[in-house]
Amino acid sequence: MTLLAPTGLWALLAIPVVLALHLLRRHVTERRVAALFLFDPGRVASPEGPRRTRLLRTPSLWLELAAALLFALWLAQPAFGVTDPQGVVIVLDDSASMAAAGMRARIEKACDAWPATAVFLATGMQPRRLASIDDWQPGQPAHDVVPALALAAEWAGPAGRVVFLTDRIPQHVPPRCEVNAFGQPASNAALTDARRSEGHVFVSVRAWASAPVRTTLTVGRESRTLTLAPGRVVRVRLPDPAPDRSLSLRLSDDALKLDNEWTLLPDPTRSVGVAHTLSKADAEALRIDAALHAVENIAVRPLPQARLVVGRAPARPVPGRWELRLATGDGPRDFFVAPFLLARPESLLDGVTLQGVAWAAGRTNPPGEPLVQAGQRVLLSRQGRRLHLNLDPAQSTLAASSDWPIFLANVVDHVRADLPGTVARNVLVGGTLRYRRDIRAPVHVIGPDGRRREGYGGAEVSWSAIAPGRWRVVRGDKDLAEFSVLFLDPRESDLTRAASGERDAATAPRPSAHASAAGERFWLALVLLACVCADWWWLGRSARTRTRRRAPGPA
Amino acid sequence: MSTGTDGEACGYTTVARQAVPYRLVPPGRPVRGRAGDHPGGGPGSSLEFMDYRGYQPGDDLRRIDWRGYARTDQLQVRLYREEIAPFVDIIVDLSASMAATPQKEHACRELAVAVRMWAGAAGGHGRLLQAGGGDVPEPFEMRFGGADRGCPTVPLRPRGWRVWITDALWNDDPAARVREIATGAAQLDMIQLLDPWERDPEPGGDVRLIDCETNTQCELALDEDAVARYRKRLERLQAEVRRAAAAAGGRFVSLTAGSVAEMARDLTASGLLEPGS
Repeated sequence: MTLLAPTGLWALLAIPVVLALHLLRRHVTERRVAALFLFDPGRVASPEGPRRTRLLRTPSLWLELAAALLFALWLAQPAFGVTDPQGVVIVLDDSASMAAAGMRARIEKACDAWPATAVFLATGMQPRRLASIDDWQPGQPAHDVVPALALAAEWAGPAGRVVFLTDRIPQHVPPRCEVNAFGQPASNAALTDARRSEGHVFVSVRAWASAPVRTTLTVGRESRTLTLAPGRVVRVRLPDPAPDRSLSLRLSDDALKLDNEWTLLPDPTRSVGVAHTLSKADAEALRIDAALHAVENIAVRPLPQARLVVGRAPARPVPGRWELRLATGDGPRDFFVAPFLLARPESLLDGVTLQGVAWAAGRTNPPGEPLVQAGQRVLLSRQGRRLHLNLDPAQSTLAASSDWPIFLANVVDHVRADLPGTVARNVLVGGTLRYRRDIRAPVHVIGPDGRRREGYGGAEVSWSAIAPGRWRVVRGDKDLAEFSVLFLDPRESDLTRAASGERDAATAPRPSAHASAAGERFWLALVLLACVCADWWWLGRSARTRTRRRAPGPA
Repeated sequence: MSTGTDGEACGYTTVARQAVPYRLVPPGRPVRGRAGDHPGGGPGSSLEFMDYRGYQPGDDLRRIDWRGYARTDQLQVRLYREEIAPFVDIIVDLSASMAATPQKEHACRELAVAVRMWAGAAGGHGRLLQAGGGDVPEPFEMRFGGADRGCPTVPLRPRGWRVWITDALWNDDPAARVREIATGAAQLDMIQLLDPWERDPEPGGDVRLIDCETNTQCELALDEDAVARYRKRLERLQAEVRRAAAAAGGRFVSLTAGSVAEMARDLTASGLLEPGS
């Protein structure tokens, strides 16, 4: 049995009420007597009112209890033979186009026509159940709705109904699904691109309309009015007022506000601290200072603060620190001339060819995974965050080649990628928010909807950017980083294809829960009426018996 | 026999079968009545000698005691006791209290008919009268209701034998009521008819009591103490009624409503009935 309206079971509270009424009822026997004056008039029964008395198990009590139980069941709408309690599953299109002006009112009006027991399910990359229509905040990029519809069909069961509310009639939906579209074609302009470079902001704007659209682009405090031809992209260059601060881009309001506003966060610096412990001879032989100078976005730091250490002697292990060691040893050297065997694909060797390089290496192979070899001799190996360079810089020409700064830049990029924090702070909706943590403590992200989502993964945790707006990475109450999720999806911004209409399900559900419940409610009401009538008859009969008895007759 | 107000049948044959073996015990004092078999209080024509009196002109010469005339030289006439059929006025209280229960009502109907039979068996000439009303015409259709209205509206026969069937549950002076009925009667026999519960109520929870005649209601906790007080008051009332009946030269018997046979046994035990021939 399935209860379609379980809240109706609150009516079961009538059972204790009936019991209380019977417990508190004064069981006064009525007797007709010939000489009332012979009784003591001072002994009036229960002058203080009803008192708790022994519960008399009269037919009236049982009938009233049965009536209360049946009434509660009638309210709860029991349905037999229905395996799933969710008779109607309403699937709400969670794409951004559903956030168009006026759409929410139409959807809510449509939902009012369905029973309160209907279950709401939002489509999306991760279909999710909604507690109510109030939780529905559409804003996702275009996505496949079939997984959500299939999930809804499972929830509804064979007798349930699946209703898909959207803004256009989709081409393919499961046969069990009914489609109600409430879309209305409208003109819309949207931000399609924005980049900050060299003190300027380059913004692209596009309109989807049947006629030119006028809109106002506001970048920071500067505004510019644009006339957008249908289907054409307008690119605008504006000065960046503060490249190291967040920048707000905004178009004037139109049918879809979601694609009108972007906030660009400045990219993180992510400078890598580098230190070397090389001897003066090695440093000069490797031209380490010049090579590091050629690498962008690094800073020479004292050894304790360095994330990359170049040296010959093993450095004290520090979590997260990379090390480039000269592992030649003091033994005899062997000389090799390119070509060498390079491990591919290996991002550490991107752009490195070692053409024309003469390499003097020790005869002991370094530990780790070989990256560069000359025959059986390992010239460069990787052991976790430690790179072993089997190189005698004084007798080699590597430092003089262009491969040396390229290799160092690759190493620095690896180190930079290993730095805690965010790499990209401006992420398109539907993308991934990545955060690299320094310690294995739980971190969460708080989305624009205020929900707190835990991140999963190892050193790098990630979340899906499912809604545009500001997302904050927090550990406990401490803010660690911030993302700006930008909405960009031409398929959703194009409201000219929105349409309204209905399409029935290709296959009708089996006898629905409502039909079953209607039959059972009829029979329940019939039995309930019988109980009430029987109670009425019994009470009337009791009253007549008392009246006829008039007095305590013979047993 | 007719049906009562509630349609209950009271068969003549049933009452007659149970009443036949009994008759009312005649009063010791002379009563008036028609000519019959019962010795009356005055001179009559029976064979039983009663007294002498002086001759008066017109007396039957055959009653002159010639032997006494010879001895005393005075004419004396022999008087013989008269034989009568006593007048028996059976007064039935048909107030609502007599129908407080079906058992009491049924017993009242049967007892009235039975007393009339017992009076006939005793050689009397009985008639049924309604207290506060007139004759109860045959076939004795008794309609209960209203209050106890005391003496019948038709004149009671002087020096007659009166049998009063009532429950005697009066909330005023019993002596006045008894005197009203007993005035002019040669004999008054009071039969108090009570329902078993009226005689001996059982304790049992809260009860709403409704007076049959006034419809006055009262809710009581009918516990042992209340029952004991009721019994005490009832006994005191019965004693007053008995005392009033005795003062009027009558007899008082209290009966519990039951079958005619049961009530006859109780009346026999109290001396109001005797086995008939």
